[in-house]
Amino acid sequence: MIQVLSKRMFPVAVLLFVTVAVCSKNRQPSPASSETSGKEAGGPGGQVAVASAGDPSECRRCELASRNSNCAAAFLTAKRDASGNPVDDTFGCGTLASPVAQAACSALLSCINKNRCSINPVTKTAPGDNPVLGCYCGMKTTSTDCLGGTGINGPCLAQYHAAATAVAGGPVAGAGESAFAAFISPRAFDATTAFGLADNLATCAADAPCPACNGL
Amino acid sequence: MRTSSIAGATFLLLGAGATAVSAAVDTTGSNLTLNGSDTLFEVTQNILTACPTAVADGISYAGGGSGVGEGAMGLNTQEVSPMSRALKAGAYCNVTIDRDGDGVKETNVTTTTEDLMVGLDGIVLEANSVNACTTGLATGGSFQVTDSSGNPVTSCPGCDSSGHYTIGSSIDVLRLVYGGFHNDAGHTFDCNSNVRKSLVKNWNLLFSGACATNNCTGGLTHAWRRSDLSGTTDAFVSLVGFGSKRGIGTLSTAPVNAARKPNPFCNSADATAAPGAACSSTVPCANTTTQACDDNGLCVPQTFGGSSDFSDLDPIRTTCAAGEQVCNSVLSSDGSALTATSGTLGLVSVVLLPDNKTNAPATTDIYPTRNCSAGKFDLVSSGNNHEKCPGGPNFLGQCFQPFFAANASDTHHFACLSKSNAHAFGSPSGLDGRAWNLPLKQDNAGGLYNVDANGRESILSVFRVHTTTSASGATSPVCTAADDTTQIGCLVNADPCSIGYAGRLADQAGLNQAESVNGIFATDTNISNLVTGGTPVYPLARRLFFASLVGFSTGNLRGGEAALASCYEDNNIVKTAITGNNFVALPSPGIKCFSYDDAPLPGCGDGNPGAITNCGAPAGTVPSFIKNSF
Repeated sequence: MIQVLSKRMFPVAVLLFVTVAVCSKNRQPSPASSETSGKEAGGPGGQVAVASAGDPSECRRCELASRNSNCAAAFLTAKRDASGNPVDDTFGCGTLASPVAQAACSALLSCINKNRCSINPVTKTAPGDNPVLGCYCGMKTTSTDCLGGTGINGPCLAQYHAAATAVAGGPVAGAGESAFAAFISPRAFDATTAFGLADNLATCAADAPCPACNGL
Repeated sequence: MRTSSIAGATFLLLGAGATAVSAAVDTTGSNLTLNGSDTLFEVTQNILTACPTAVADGISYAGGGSGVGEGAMGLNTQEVSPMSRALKAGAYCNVTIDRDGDGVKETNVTTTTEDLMVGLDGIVLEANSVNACTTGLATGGSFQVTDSSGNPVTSCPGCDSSGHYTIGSSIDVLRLVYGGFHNDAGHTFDCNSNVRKSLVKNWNLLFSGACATNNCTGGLTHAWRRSDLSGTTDAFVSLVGFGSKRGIGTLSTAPVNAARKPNPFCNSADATAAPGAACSSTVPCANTTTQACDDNGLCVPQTFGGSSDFSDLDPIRTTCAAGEQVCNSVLSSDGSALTATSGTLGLVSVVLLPDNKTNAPATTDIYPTRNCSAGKFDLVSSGNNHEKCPGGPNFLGQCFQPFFAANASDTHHFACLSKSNAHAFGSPSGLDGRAWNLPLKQDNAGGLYNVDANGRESILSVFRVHTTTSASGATSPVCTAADDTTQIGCLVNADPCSIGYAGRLADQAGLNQAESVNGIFATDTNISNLVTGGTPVYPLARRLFFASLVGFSTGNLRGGEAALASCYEDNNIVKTAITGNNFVALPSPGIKCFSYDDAPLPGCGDGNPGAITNCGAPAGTVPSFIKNSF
């Protein structure tokens, strides 16, 4: 297991994506129509929208406005400029390059929210701000077991698999769990992957906090 | 002891993302742990000892730095603060605070702000008394600049045609060592220059005369410094001078007038960034928020105060020695590989002990003495899903951390000393396991990192470098001081080829010595000359203060803070505490009070100079609330 993991570890690529959109399963954007400026994201007329569960624009406004360290702009978008810096005013699953990755990210975020499975990594109880531990590994699975690919039974297992296979160089559908675990574990919060970006959006929503994100 | 035990404290589990723990607004003046100058830590403890009413009202002192105290007053979580510098204009000009805790900032403090000047200090440049070649920093001299291969160079900033660089003063030495600031006409800032490298490589050059015996043939190992938010650093930067643009910004959370500045220290990201585009008064930088136009006409990054406190980016690296117990194994962005600077610490390194009042770590967390159990690691959360782990990749938002366990059923204790050969799953080959000693973890907190008073993770505990072992040839034992100043005084002995700047309290008898600056020693007389008009004035002399935005003359302070202020207004108490801690007492008539329009307070530029001076007393008199003037 250790050798497998070591061989598969390679630098996290900084991928350049160009699509901008609010991450929502119900509002899955098309790359051509999803450009949304940050100034428009606060709601009509620049007014701050009232927070409500499942409000994509309010979720975006809230997360980008947060000063929590887990809500840094770089964590909330996959889009990077030529220097590798996050592109201003971009946010959400729609910033991933491919429609498949966008859909996988949205589906995973929806699953995380639906199951309320992000857990506190210390108490191992929900609610918390680490989605991958609760939603992929499973509430009762230890981190080291999960890293080794054993005992993984989180409620969003299928969505994590789909998101991992949407990443270039990721495991193929049907690969063994150890292959998925080896790929997902070191990239669990890498915003340039479909699952990492979903994890980041969920983490920020919990820490900011941004209840408007919880129903997406 | 500046830190309190965690025992009995409410334990707060921070979720991912370290966020500052909000302290309650001060509405009573009592039951407060105050932040403020670390330089005045012992002085304030002594004053509290002489001030039982304040103690009975629940006042205690945690230090943390003048900037921290100033920031806390701006948030009105406290209304008084010991400070080793005067208040800045941004701290009180047009500032309003919430004194009644209703969430509304109703009290404008512009004209109520007052500073008590309570003593004098000289920032000292400490060196080991055995190894220092003389008792003075170099005041002149010329040296051949060489490249990394030892070959003479013919072109370097400030050099003559033969590649010689001439030191103009002791200040020149400090500018080069700490900030890479050269004395050429072009105002070159370059922390990685051959000039700087050549200077620090030759121990003799740092002093005013040659060594009879050079015990530091490898050159200067480290130049310790205080944190961004300490008044000592603020004064050091002002007095040494790193050009007109570089300095320490305010905290990003400053209530008003928050300001960025290009950080001058070579361990900072600002000072080590590649030079930007050309700029001038008519050609601004592309982003005037995050960039400033430097004295050399180049755009440089600028950041808020505190940005460099956890940075170890000095391009001059010192290989970690056997007696050192922290070491920076710099990893690639994904943690899977070592970079070229692994196994080193930067020349300029920050000494910053934890200053958090909430969930404060125990002494045994700050300075653990037992070794981590060999080969024992847990994959645990630091409190931040995006943590850059010290010893390898981040897995699942967590880091492998070493722990101590007496047996299989024992609790995993994360406050332990990791050895250089420690290796976790995923650690790159060649990793120095002492990297795990850099983040400060509380023993029974499951691996969570300590979060300081400003909400920052304590990820770079360089101050623990000699917790249980000293460097080879050191004349002192180990360094486990309770405050940054004393710790720097100790470190120049535990690592006798290092130097450091700090308040005069750092000048510990016998083992280390304060070097003269420009040939002037930090004597009582030379420091007092700062306020008497006598000469010479020690170049790094400064005033010490006890500050309040609410004011002393107003009578508006409450509870324990009022009691503490009353003691700080008493010359008998203050003079004993000041002189007892190696500072300099003020000349007659003793303590002075300054209102917002009095120098050294900067005033507000409101066009009404002299409106409120001398804390409301007639000019030339001592305000009546100051006791035992002489």
